[in-house]
Amino acid sequence: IAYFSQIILMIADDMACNPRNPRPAMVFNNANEQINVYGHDVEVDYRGYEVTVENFIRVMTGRLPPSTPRSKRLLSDDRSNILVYMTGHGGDGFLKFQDAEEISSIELADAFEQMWQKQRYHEVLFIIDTCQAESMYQKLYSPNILGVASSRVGEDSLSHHVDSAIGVYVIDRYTYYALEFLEKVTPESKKTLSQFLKVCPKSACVSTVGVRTDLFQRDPKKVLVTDFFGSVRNVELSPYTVTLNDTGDTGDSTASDRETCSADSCAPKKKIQRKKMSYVDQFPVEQFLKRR
Amino acid sequence: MGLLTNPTSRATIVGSITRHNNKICFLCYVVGLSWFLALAYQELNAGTYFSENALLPGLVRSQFYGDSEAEGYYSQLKSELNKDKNIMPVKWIYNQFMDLGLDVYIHNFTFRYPLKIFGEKQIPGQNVYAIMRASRAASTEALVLTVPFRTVTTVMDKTHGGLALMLTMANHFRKSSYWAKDIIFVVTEHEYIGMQAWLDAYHETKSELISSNSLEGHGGSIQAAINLEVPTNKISSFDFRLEGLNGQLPNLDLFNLVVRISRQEGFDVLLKEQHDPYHPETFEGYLQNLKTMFLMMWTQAPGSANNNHGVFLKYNIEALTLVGKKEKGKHAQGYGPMGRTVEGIFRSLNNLLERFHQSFFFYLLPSTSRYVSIGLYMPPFAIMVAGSLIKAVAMWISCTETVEEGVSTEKEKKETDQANGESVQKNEVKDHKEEKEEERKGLLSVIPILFITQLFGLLAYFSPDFFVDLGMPLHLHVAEAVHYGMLALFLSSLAMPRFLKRSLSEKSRPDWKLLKCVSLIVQGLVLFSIALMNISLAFFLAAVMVPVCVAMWPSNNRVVQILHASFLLLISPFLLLYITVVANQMMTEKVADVASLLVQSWDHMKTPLILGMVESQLLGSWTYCVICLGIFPNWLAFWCLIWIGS
Repeated sequence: IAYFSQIILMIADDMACNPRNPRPAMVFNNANEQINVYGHDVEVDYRGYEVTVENFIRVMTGRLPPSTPRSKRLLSDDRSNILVYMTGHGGDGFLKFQDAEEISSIELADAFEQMWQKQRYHEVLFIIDTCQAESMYQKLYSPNILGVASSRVGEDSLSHHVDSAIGVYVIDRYTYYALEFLEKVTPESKKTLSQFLKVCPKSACVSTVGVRTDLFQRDPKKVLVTDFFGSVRNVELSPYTVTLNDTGDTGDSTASDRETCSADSCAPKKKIQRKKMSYVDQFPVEQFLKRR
Repeated sequence: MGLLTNPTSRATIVGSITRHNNKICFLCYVVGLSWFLALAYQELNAGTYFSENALLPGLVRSQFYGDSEAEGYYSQLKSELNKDKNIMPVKWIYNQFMDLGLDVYIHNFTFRYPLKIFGEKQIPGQNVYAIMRASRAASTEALVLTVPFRTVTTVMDKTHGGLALMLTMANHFRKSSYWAKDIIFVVTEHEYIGMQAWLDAYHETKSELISSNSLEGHGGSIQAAINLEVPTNKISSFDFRLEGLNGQLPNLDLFNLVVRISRQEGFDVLLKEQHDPYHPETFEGYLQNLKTMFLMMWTQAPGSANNNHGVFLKYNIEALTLVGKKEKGKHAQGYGPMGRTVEGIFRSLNNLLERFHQSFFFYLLPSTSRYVSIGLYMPPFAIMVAGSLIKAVAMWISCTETVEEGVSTEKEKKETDQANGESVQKNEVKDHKEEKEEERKGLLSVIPILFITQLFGLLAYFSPDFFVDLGMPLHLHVAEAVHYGMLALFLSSLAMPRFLKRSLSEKSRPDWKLLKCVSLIVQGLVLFSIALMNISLAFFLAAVMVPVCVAMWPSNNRVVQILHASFLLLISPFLLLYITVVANQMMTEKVADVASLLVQSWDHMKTPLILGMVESQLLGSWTYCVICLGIFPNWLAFWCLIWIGS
């Protein structure tokens, strides 16, 4: 069975399979090497030189060539909550992608606006962990975006600790404390976003965590963390059937195939048929049990 | 700037420079020299820091605990060496690497000493090298660990401890899978000649006198190299050698890395066998820093490839030498910390994705934790040499003025500088044509002298082989033949002014001011060019030549002539070499009395002379060429200047 996750992972440097990694194909969350975050279910969709600003914006806005496989597409609609997490080297108003390019805060804001115009998201949680991270969400102007940054403009985000068996700093401070919080969140958890936003005080993070809530319409105190994490899907129950019209859509999104209608014919063609649903009869276990 | 484009004000400035030129030159020289020496003071230089963040020095925990293995190798090596004290145990080293499972090869090469030292004989040599392949990488890059093999009977510091350490490190490195570059272990014979042969074969370049077979085993492009010269199995401190061929230095980040890791493992760090001062802000601290910086410049100036690392720098491979020392009264450590030091250095080098390019390539070191960058030492040097250029300008101005005085008689009686400036302008307008003729004649007359001095320089450059051939029927040793031959050439060049006086008539003899002006400009050019590559050589030459040359003028007074001649002789290249050797003797050995010092130095003078010539032909060192073709002709021009007469 081919299945794809609703997670798009873009990693420019292959750290797990770098020859310098003494633990090949493993990336740990801390120096005690407790959790291998690069486990069997990790699927890197964009790797190495594919991680470019152009590809990132194409993924966000959906303007991908027709040959792109479904696993590399975002496939979101107007009911999707999207979590965007970005980390790396950054500065005032930019984030470095490859050695030769960077994405600016304005490009990012425009990308989000394109998504909003195309109704590609319901709400966005935007987390960014770089130096001067706050500058990346300052230019956003689309509604329903909650931004969290690991440092203010003029501050550096710092690493947390060294794994002396490998010889590198393994995790950044904000990500470390955010991960610590999220490890305890289960799909049934009632923790709210406002608790998540307080996750790294200045004593732990050294840099000041920045939050942008003015574009977000709900109150973070009333938003569950699982709205954005854990792929918890809310199910809307409807006691009636819904008939789907056959529009003759073969999957092409070119304009010529879309049906146009005139003033007379724009009225709905059929009335929506509603049939009340009921439960199926239970399997008659008692009969079998009684027989024995 | 209106100041310089306005002819009147320009004339004023030029006039005031000409009037006060002696004071300005003296001031420039003194200020430049004292500023340069003051740079060793802590407040005037900067502390070393890591520019290349990818190095992550000392962050990884060392996993080397193979002391006992290393001791085993050391004792085996010693017993192997005692079997035959004069040859390199190539087979034994080959077998050790083979047992470890590395790709090991023997590299044969031959070389001929230039100047027919040992006749036309081709001397054979063998290098042993082993390549440890990185298990998960593509073999595109390599790091080199090298040890120069020295026999038990050598007069230099021994390197056997380093050889045992290298074998242990090879054993330790091959067990790990985290290498992104190949590690090549090289044991060379004949010091840096073997190293040059190996590098020639690796990069497929050709040397004149060294011919080496092509390499059977090859790695990727070499990123960095470390040379180990550890005498025994117990040392207390590491001394570092940085200076390479032509005064080139490795990237400062490599030095910082090596110092940091050595310190971390508990070794004392020395530079030129000097410790860092405990209180650098005091005067004693300053003197200690000045001594270290001076010693570094003393080693850099000759431009000799002092150790194996010196020949790597030419290929843009950063390399330096770690010399192990056991100091009295200091706690000595064994192979454990030594191995961890080498491992730490190589793990940091392993992290690099690019060649060293972030930190400085031109610097001077007053201590292991302070540096003087090129931006700090160039201004004082420039001011020192500016003295001679200002003198040249003054000579030119006075030369053109005397020309005009000869042409128009009424204007020459004016006294004020302002008037002088104006008269220069007016004369330029009036007697433009005649003035030009005079000048042209003047400049042309300088050319024969300069040409002949350059010829002498060429003679000096090509003469050694001739002297060796001359000395053979007289059964003179090569060194003696060259020594006395150069002395003969030098003395004959002293006679040049006499022949000039005879051959050149009064009319075609150049104006001495013009000759001085041109010579000073050439001197400035040569010194600045040398400074770009080898600041130490340029500094020492400038420090002695600039004050003397600037103050030279021909005079009819016999006493003054003798005085000028003696000063100029003191800074002649030949005598300068002698004085340098005397100074070196005083610094390195205890001498009984002055007479024996002078005699010994005369004998010892052969060494740098021969070494300079040998290295220039064997390795491509430029020092001998620069001295012969740049400094010597220039000096000779000044020599002619004082005898030509007004």
